[in-house]
Amino acid sequence: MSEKTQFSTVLDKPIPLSDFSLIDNNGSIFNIESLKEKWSLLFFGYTHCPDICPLTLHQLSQANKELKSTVKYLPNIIMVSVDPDRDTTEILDKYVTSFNENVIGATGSITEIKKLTGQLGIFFKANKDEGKNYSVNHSAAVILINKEAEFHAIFSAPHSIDQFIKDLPKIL
Amino acid sequence: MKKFYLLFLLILFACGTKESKGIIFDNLLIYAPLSGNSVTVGYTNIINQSNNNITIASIASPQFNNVEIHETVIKDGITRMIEIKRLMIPKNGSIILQRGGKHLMLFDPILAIKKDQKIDLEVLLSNNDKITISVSATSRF
Repeated sequence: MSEKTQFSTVLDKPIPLSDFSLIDNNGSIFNIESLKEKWSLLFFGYTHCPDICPLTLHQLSQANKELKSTVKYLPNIIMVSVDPDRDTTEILDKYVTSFNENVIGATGSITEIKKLTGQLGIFFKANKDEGKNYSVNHSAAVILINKEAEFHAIFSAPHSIDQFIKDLPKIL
Repeated sequence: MKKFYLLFLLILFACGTKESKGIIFDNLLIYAPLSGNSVTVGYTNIINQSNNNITIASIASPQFNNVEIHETVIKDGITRMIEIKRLMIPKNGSIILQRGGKHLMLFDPILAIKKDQKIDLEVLLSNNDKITISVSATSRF
């Protein structure tokens, strides 16, 4: 039985995920198999979001840095872009690797993205009526996936580095 | 000597410096856009030292096609960006533009902006006063 968490909700029974097919920032297939055998922190955003998305990725990267010496299984950090029209593999690669070389970016068709987001209760909607520089409304939660590729826990926004540092060692 | 001192004070008063408009952009920070990205963000503390409310009507930059003020709002777990068309700075008060809150959005750089490159902001107030401020682009990492 894991210790009680302060900032995240751990599911009583983790939910197994069904398959989806995205492309990662290296151009490789990113699917259910990519989530197995390692814990993952999933964040949904887009590269044209210059405020909250880089802030969250920075918080996750810093938390991982801090946890390096204390946690047995350091989670992958994965940003799934919910803006595939603008976020090409190349743009996504430049974006995620500028935070931390270990951050993974992934995106794909709206249908395939929804196969994943639908299982996690993640919402997104592109405001295309705003023109070329449109924004995308999206869930700000960070989802923790366990090594069996199951939906294990959720960190609700707003986030802080401290929240991840305090809760992750209790779960991982 | 006295005459010279008075003249100096008169010239200083007539110059219309940023301070005379009563508004200061403190700790202004604008990130150089990330590689391959056409949008970036700026943060600052806008201080109104005057006894009147001051409204920012618009912001422009010769280095960007468009500058807007936005606010990140998280409601029911969903993050949204909302444009603020006019930003009022209360008399003798301040408004902080910060991460996860109100912020400057700078769209479509005219030329690639690198770290340390000068960025000018032309701030138009609702009374038609214009303030030009400059800052060097900061690297995000």
